Amino acid sequence: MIVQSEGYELTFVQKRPCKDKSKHLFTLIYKFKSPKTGLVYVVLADYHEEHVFVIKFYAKRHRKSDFKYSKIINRGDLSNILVTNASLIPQLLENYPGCSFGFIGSRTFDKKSGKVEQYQFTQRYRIYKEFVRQLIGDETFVHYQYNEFSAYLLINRKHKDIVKAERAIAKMFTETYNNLPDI
Amino acid sequence: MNKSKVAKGDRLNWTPIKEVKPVSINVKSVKGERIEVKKSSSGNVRKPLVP
Repeated sequence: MIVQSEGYELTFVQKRPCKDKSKHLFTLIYKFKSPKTGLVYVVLADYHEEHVFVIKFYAKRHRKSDFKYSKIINRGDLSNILVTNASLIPQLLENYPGCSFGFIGSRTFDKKSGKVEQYQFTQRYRIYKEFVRQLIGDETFVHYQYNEFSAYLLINRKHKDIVKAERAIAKMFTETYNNLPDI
Repeated sequence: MNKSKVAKGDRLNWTPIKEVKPVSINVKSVKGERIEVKKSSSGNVRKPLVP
C-alpha cells in the first residue's frame, strides 16, 4: 500500500497551557475538515518536557465523549485524515526545532457489542505505523515502536545519544501517564 | 434466511467495557524496538513529509 493522499489544510485554533503541574506543558490545537466525511476533526499536539509532542485527534462531534479517541465513524477518508495529522510534524519542526514526536493507537470501542479492543497492537496502531513509515523518513528521526502498548516514537536525530533520549522520553511518559493504555 | 452480522467486539473476543481494568505501566516494562525505515527500490513511492 502506497499512501498517495495529500491531506487537508490544518487551521491553528489556540495554544492551551496545561496547569496540572505535570510534564505536559501545553497543547497546540488545530482543526481541519474532511469534505468526504463532512466532519470537522480536532488535532491536538501535546508538548511535554524532553521536547516531545504527542499528536492526537478526534472528530469534533465526539469532543465531549470519554471515548472520543476510540470511536469508529466509518465514513472513510482515512488516508487523507492521517496524512493531515502527519503534516503537522514538519510544521511543528519549524517552530520547535529538534523536537521529537509520539503517538498511540487507541483501543477501539465497539458500541454494538459494548466491548473494547485489547491495548496491545491495536488496529489503529497497526495502520498508523504503516503510514508514518511512508510519510516520515529516517534522516530526521529514529523510529521506535512499542507493540506492547501500541505506541510509536520519532526520536529527533539531533540528540547526541538516541538511546539515552529514548529512555528519558519513555520515562517521562510513564511518569506522566501511568495509566496510558486505559480506555 | 438472514443471518445477523456478529459484532466486531464479539467476533474478535474483545473485553466488555465493564470488565476493562486499569493498566499501570512503568519504564522498565516499556521496551521500544528501534526500526529501520526501508526505502523502496522502486520509483513508485511518495516523497516523505519529513526526510
